Amino acid sequence: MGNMAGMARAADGAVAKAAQRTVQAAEAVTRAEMLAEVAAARAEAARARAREAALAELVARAERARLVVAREAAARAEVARVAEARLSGRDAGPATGARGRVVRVWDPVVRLFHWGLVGAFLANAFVTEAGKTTHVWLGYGVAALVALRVVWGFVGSRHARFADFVPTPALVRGQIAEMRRWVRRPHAGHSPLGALMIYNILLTMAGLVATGYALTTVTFFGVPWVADLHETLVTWAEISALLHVVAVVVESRRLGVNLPKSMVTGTKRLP
Amino acid sequence: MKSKLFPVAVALLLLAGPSFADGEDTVDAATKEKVTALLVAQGYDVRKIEHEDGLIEVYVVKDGKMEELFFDADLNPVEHAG
Repeated sequence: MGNMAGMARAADGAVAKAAQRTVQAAEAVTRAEMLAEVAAARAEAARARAREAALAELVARAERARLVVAREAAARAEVARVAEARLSGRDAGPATGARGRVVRVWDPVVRLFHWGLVGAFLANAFVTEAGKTTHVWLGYGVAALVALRVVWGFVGSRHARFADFVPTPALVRGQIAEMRRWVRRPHAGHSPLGALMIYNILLTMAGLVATGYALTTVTFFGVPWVADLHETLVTWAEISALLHVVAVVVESRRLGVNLPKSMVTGTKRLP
Repeated sequence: MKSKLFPVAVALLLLAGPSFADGEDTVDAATKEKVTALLVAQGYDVRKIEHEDGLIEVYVVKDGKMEELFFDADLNPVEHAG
């Protein structure tokens, strides 16, 4: 009898083990199914993102096309208005808003800094003699302009503030892409590449002022490496200025905005 | 193409910068030595020697005073508003 009981227990044990294995198998199947579902959901999400990106690109393209159509319509309306005025013998008067809106962008301090720096740098690079009184005083002038611009970068008007022109890599890449495709999309303030040039010029000028001042002190007077560094910075500033002028001309043409004129008048005519 | 050439051009200009910005050929070592010896004997601290306006220009400091002295090819002192 004891033996029978033992066999029954063994059978019970086997049944229990089998049941446990069945549960484990069922769990494994469930896990596999869940993983498959997760993978499917991920794939679906990726497809949705791709569709969204494609859609955004389409919307952007449609928006650009709409802008072009609107500009053309405005131009046609303007031509028609002028032609009609001419036919009826009236003076057409100044162009209407068809050619865009005028926006105030550069405050007087920004313009004073820009043209003051142009004058002082050109004078010291090409006219005054290194080490002479005029050269040194113009150098102090540059120092004052740079200091003023840095302060103005925090307290100046909207487009004068550094926070208004932070050249993040994404913004820079975006502008380069727009230049490649010759897209007309002007910035009200500084463009990202323009911002890079500004920071470059500010740093270069700070270096010129520092080395130039050092050369007037007993410690660094006539010390060759300081003089060489000062001259290398001059060369770098000249290259930068040339590149700046070329970029401004190219960008003025791409954007249909007279950028040099805006640095004189302080306003831009945006489409 | 432009993007490849530009950094090269910039690098060349930067390297060439100090030499052509100076615009003066350097004074030969023997002359430099003579000028330096002459001025050090007079108590000057000689900082730099170069050609300017056909003369030898020497940047010196003596008793905290900064000066540019000029000499002709025979190392005679020359008055020059340089």
